[in-house]
Order: sequence, then structure tokens, then C-alpha cells
Amino acid sequence: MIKKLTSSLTKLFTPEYVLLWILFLMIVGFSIASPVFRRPDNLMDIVRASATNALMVLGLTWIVATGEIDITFPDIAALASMVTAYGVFNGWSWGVSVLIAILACSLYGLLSGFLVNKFLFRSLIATIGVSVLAKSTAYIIGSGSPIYLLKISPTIQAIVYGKIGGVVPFLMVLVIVLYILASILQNYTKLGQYLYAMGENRKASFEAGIPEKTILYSLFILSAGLASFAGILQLALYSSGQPNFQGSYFVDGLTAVFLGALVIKLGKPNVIGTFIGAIFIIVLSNGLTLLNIPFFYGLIIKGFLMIVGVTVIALTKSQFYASIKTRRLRQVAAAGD
Amino acid sequence: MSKRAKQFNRDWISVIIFLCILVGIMAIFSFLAPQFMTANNLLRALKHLSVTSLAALGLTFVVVVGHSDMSFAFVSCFAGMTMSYFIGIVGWPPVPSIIMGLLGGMIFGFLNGIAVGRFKLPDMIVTIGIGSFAWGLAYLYNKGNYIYTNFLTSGIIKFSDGRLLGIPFPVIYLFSFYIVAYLLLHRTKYGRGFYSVGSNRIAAVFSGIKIERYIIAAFVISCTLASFTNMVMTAAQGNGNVKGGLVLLLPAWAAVFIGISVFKKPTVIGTFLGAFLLSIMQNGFTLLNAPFYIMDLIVGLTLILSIVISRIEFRKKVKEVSPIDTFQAAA
Repeated sequence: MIKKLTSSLTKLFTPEYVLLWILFLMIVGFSIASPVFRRPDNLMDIVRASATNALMVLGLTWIVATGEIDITFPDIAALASMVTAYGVFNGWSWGVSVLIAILACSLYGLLSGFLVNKFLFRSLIATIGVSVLAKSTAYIIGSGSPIYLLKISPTIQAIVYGKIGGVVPFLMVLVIVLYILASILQNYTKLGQYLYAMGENRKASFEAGIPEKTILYSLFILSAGLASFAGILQLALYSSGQPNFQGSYFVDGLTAVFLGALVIKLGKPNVIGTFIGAIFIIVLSNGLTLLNIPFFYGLIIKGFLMIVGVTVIALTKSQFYASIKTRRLRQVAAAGD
Repeated sequence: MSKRAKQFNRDWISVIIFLCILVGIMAIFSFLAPQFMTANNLLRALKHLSVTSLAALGLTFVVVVGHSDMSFAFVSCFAGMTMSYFIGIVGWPPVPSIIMGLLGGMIFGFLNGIAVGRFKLPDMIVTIGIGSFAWGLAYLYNKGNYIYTNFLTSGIIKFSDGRLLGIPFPVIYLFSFYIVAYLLLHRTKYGRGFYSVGSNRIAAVFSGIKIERYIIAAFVISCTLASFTNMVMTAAQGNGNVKGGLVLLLPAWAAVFIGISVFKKPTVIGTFLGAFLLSIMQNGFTLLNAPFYIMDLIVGLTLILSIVISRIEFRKKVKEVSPIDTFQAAA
């Protein structure tokens, strides 16, 4: 019993949990330093913002786990908000506009998947092309300017601002349920195994008969669909459709995924890690703002943590590299003889 | 036809198709907008070309060694702000300030190279991390505000507006850098080294090529050229801006990959042609009074279409060879 306890306690201090410790210390530090930070409504704000961000990058996590990348998510989210705003502005009902927005954005996801699967694009290039297309479509819809809405649908208001029992934000519950479902899919089904197999060795997974193309198609569509949903929720925050989300969604989203890759499964993107990464980023930027520290110190800290994190991964895996190196040296020595 | 000649035909057919498309586009523009084919306008297009194409040239080296660099645009913001800081706030003359800026860019390129080449860290994550770090540092100089004091009097504007024998300076930078890069990458053994690191790393190790140094050199070249580009942009705009360099990211990637789709591998000339196509189209659409956001559409469509076309051709070529090659292409 005691042995079990100590082993689980020591586990808490392994590199897998360092980010959690940093997050914990950061929250404690900010709460002590700033009385505004620990006010319940500010904490709710943090929860709301991190839920939207986490929603945006859930699909991206799995795409990165398969060794591909998707940089379309900020532009897809902006496009979704523009399409919805355009629909509502022209007198369609909210349900129809939201549905059309999600469908249209999923088409962009389908296009990325198509380019990667059919034409063997590198996913970085395919998604650069698709994201530029999505951005310009968003601009064209509003002829280069945002679409302002007078009224936001009560359903979307309820999703964003609603609280279950007046305490727990509805959005957070929704996102947590989604993430739990995703982590069950990732940890207890074949799909999860396939994802990491593809990330490890694409040739081997192809030979093993993993339906790579289907998986990639569905991942890109999933990523675009979730990003578009997050974009529609942003509509309620800005009460307008924005063709270009000002702010650092691009860097923040990728940082959440890559920082998340340091938690729980060392070196592999996983949904729980991404969730923690998203919270981490929002806590950092919120706390810095409340302490009157300019936001760009946040950029520096995030960049620094990412580099340190990747280095930690590399060092823990360096035994692997060392073994390869000695083998290679032996080969060279043998060839020399 | 001999086998060699057949190979020659296959390799050049995409180049010929691309040049036809380029000439066709230019013909359409000169038909729609009469002022398109004037010397003044072409010089303006070339000046614009010098901005995207120099960043793309640096990126070409990184792609040649088989890596990706997402940081060059962010690093160029840092370099541009460093230069603006020395000119505007410290009050140095332009040339030493430019050297300080380039040094700043070079240091971040070196860090990228060390992390990717020496420590074998994943390039995408590291370059985004270092990029975000550098961008944050760029804000420190003036708390994110524009720097424009001293700009008019220090003579930095000359670096963008000056002319030599009637040719604007940026056009001269453009051609001199491209010629040097062409000679380096395609006419020396070092160029072969870059390509061998990218195509078969294990073979490169065993033929005694120092892989790390090539990777570091590629990242340093990428960040330094992007920094230089941002200097030219800063000089043209007359102020230092923390977000000025971000516009480089997507067009540079697009130019490199249009080049790859033409020549089937990253080359200096291919990158030039890709950047040239994008610049000409931007210039033409501006003359036609198209709104600014059309440009994104053009970059995206051109990138996707050029690669799709090249892949169709490529797949046919593979089918003729052997089933094993088809498998390798699929994997």
C-alpha cells in the first residue's frame, strides 16, 4: 500500500508532469500577486477562453500525432464566423447558417485531406494553400470588412455564457465531455493505436494495412469541423463575423498541442495534454495582463518553454540515439578493419 | 530517341509548360491593363519581387536539406526592429545598424540550426518555438510601437529608394543574391553537399559530409536573408514595425513549392520563377483595381494548382517505371 503510494508520488515528479507543476505554481503565484486574478468571474473568463481554444485544436492534436500538420484552424474558424454572420445578416435562420458554415468548413478540411491523400502533398504545403484560400473566402464574403450583428441567437449565447446550476459554465462541461470521449477513443480503441503507429513509421503502418487514407480524410474533416464550431462560438464573443481573427491563435494553438505533447505521453501529442496546454496558455496571458505585464513577455515565455520542452524530450530519448550511434561506430570500425 | 534525350524531355516539359503559362498570364494582363507592360511598372513589379523572393531564396536552402523553417518571418521582425532601434533610438548610421540587425537574424538562424542539426529536435516545433521567442523579443525594443524617429535623416530610405544606373537598389540586391545562390547551390561541391544531406542522409554521412554544418548553414542563410528582406521593407516603409515581416511567411513557402513543382526539386531558378509568378499576378491585379484580399486567393490557388499539375505528370512517369517505385512514391 505504502509502496504503491510512494511510487505514484514519485511518478508525479517525472518529466511527464513538469508542465502540470509549472501550471499549478503559475496559478498559485498569480492568485497571490493579483487579487483580480482570483476573483470568480475572472476564473470563469479563463475557463471560457481556454474552452474555445481547446475546441479549436482537438482535431489538430491527432493530426500532429500521425506526423502530419494542419495550420488551417485559425482561418477556418474565421471563415465559419463570417459564413454564419453572412447567413444571419441575409435573414436565414440561425440553425441553417450554422449548419451551412460547418458544412462549408468541412469541405475545406476535405480539400486538405484530398490534396494530401490523392496528390501526395506534404501536409504543411496543402494546409498553407487551403488556409490561404479559406482566409480569402472569408474576406470575399464580407468584401474585406467584418459583418456586425445586432442580435446573437439565444442558443449560442447559452452555450457560451450559460452556467449549469448558476455555477459551472456550460461550455466547459461540453468541452470536457468532448475531450473525455476523445481520450477514450485515443487510449482504448484501435483508432488511437493507428494514430501513433502512423506517427512512428508510415511505411510500416502502410504495410500493416492501416486504412491511412480514411483516417487522414476523417482527421482533416474533424479538425476543420471543430475549428469552425469554435469560430461560431467566437461570433458570440465579438458579436460580429471577423474575416481575420486578430490575436495569436496560430501560435497559441500550435503551442498548446506541442506543449501538451510534453504531458502524460512524453513526446507524443495527446488530447489530455492539449487540454492542459490550452489552459496553460490562457492562464499565462490572463495573469500577465492582470499584472500589467505586456503580452509579448508571454510570447517569449511560451517560445522558451517549447524549446526547453523539446530538449527534455530529446534528452530522455537520447538513450535511443546513443544506441544507434554506438552501433554506427561499430559498423564503421568493422569496415575499417 | 535515346534514353537520355527522353529523360531530358521529361524534365524540361514542365518548365516549358510553366513558362507558357507565365507568358500567357503576362499577355492577358497587358491586354487588360495597358500600363502593365511599361518599363516603370515592370521595375515596380521587380522591386516588389525582391521582397518575397529573397525570403523564399533563404527558405530554399532549408527545404533543400530536407527541413522546414517556420521561424524566418518572426526572426525577420526581430532583425528589422533591431535595425530600427539602432537607427531611431541609439542614433547609429544605417550600415552598422543593418549589420546589427543581420547579426540578430543570424544568431536565431544559428540556434535553429544547432537545435535541428546537432540535437536532432523536430524542426517544426523548434522553429515555431524560436520564432515565437524572437517575435516576443522584437516587442521589447519599443514596447511594440512603431519606430520612425531619425528615419528620414539617417539615409536608410536610400537603401530602398536609391538607384544605380536607373535600376532601383532592391532589384540589384535581388539579382546579386540570386546569382551568388545559384553559383553556390548548383555549381560548387558545397551545393552538392546541401542536396545530398536532403536526399539521403545516411549516404551523406558515409561519404564524409558534415551534416550538422550544412543544416546549420541552411538555417543561418534562411534567417539572414529573411532579415535582409525585412530591412529593405523597413527602409521602404520608413518605419520599424513589429508585424512587418509576418507577411513573408506564406508567399515565401508558396514560391518555394511552386518552384519544386516546376523542377521536381527545390532549386534557385524554380524559387525565382515561383516568386516571379506571384509578384506579376499581384502587380497585375493591383493595376486592375482588384481588392487586396484577392491576392490570398491567387497565392492559394496558384500553389495548389501548380502542385496538382506537377503531381499528375509525376504519377504518370512513375507508373511507367516499375511497381516498386510506385510503392515508394506512395509511401
